[in-house]
Amino acid sequence: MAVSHRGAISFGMVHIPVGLYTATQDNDIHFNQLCKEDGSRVKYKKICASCGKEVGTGDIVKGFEYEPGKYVTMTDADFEKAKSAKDKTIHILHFTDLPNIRPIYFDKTYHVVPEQGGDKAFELLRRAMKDENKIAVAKTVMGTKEKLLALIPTDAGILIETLFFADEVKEAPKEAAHSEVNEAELQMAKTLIGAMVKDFEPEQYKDEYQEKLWQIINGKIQGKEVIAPQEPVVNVIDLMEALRKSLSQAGVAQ
Amino acid sequence: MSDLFEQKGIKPMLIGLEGEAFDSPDYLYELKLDGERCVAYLDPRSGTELRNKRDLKMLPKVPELSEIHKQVRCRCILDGELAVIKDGRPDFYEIQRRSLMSNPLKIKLASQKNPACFTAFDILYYEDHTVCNLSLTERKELLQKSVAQENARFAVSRVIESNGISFYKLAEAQNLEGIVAKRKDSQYYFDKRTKDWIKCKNLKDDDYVVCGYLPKANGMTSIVLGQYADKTLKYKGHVTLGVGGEDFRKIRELPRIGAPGFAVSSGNEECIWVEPSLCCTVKYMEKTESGSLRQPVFKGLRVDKLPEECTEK
Repeated sequence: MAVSHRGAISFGMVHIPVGLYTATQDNDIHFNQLCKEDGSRVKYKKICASCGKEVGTGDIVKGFEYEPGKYVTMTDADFEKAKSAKDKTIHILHFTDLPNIRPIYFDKTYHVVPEQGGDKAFELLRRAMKDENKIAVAKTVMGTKEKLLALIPTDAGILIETLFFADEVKEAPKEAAHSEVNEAELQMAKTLIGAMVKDFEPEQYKDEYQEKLWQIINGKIQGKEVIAPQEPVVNVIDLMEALRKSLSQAGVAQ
Repeated sequence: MSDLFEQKGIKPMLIGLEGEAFDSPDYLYELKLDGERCVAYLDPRSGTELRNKRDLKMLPKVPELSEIHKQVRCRCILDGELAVIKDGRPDFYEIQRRSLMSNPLKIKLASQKNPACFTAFDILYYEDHTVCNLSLTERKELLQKSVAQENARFAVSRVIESNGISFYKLAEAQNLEGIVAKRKDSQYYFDKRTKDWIKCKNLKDDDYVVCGYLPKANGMTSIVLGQYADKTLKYKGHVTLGVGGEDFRKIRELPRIGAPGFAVSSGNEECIWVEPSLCCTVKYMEKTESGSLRQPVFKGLRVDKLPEECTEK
C-alpha cells in the first residue's frame, strides 16, 4: 500500500511526521474494453475535432468554456499563480466533539501512521484526544488542493477524514412537508423501531451483484484453465534441496 | 506492550557487501531468493502476522500464508523472504505484482494460481525473548528447533557449508539470482547494513527514484532515474520500459511537476517530470567510472523502500 500523502501534524510546539494511507477501497470488478473481432485491447486516440489530426500531450492546452464555443485558455503560469503555498503540514486549528460534525461533511478516510521519530508525539496526541473525548479540525494541502480535515483518535491509532467545505454541501432540493402526526401512530412506529434495534455489524452485508459477477467470471476462468496446477511442480523446498544434492554429489566426485 | 513480539516494527538487518563468490569455513552459504523481504511473527496458538521491511502488513496481499504459524512449535519471530516460485525458480515479478494488488478478488485469484511461500532464514525471537545476540550458527540451530514441519507455503532456507564458489556457479547456471554468504559467528542487529552478509550475484542491481519519463517510439518509454546524495536528488541515467504494464501505469499516474531537482541535460527537454515518490530496481552488468549503468534493465517498482533511501553508493 503506497502512502497517499506525507506531511507533519503541527500541534502547538510539536511536529509529528506522518504518512496518510487510504482506509477504504473500491472492490468493484472493473472491465477492459476489447475489440469484438479479435479480443485486443481498445485504445484511445486524442483527435482534434476540427482538423482530425491526432494530438499529443504537448499539443494540448486547457480551456474554460465561458459561453458555448468560446474559451479562455490557461497556461501553466496561470495555474501556478492559483496554487496554495505548497504546505503539506497538517495544521490543527481547534478541537471539538465528534457529533459536532454532521456525517454529510465526511468525504474520504485515511489511516494516519507516524513516520520515523514521530511515534512518541503521535501517541501523546492520540491518548490526549481519546481521554478528553475530542477530535481535531485541521487544514492541509494535498496535491494542489486545500483540504479541511478531522483527526479522530481510535483505540489503535488516528484516522483522518477529509471534510467537504461548507459551500460544497448541497441543500435538499425540496423540504418534506412536516405534516401533523397522530400520537398513537407515532407510538406504534417507535415500538416497531425498538423491536428492530441491533448492533451494526458491517460484515453481515455484502454487495450481492459483485459476488454474482465474480462467480460468473471465476467459473469462466476455471473452465479455461481446467488443469491449472494448484501447486507449482517445483516448490522452493525442491529447488533448495536439488541444489544441495547436486553440490554434495559433486563433493563425492572430487 | 514493550514485548517485541507484540510491538512489531522490526527493521531487519540488510546485506552490506557485494562481491565475488568465495570458499570459507567461517561462512554459511544460502540461496538468494528473488522475492520480497519479510518478517514473520508466528504464534502456534494465535496466528500469523507478516510485515515487510517498512513494517507494512503483508498478510492481506498473501492470504494463502495465514496458516503458516501452524508449522512452528513455539512463539517466534522469523526473518525470511516472500517469494513466488514459477517454472522452477523464484519469480520476482509475481511477488512484486502481488504486493501492489489491492482488489481482494484479484489477490484471491493470484493466490490460487501462483501461491507465495515464506522461506525462513533467521530467527530473532524465541518463545519470550530476543535471540539476536546468539551467533548465526546458534540461531540456525534454534530455527530448526522452532520449526515443526515445512510445507508448500513455509520452508526453511537450506544451508551450504564452505563450498561458496561451486554453489554460486550452480545457482548461476540455473539462472537464479545468486547466493548470500553469512559469517557463522555474526550476531543480528536490527536496522543495520552488515558486512557480515555478502551477496554474490550474477547481475547487479540498485534502487533508484523515478524522476520522469521520456516517451519513445513503438510503445516504449525511457524512465529517468535519480538517487539522493546528501539529501539532493542527482541524475543517474535512463532505463527503458514498455508502456503496457502496471508499473508504467503507476508512473504515469504520479503528479507531474515542472522540473526535476537537478539540471536537465540535453536530450531530456521533452521529458515529463513527476513527483519523485516512487522507487524502482534496475539490473545492470556494471557501473562505469562516471556512475552510469551498462545494459540497464528495469526490474520493477518497489514499494518497500522510501525515495530518500535510494542513495548514491
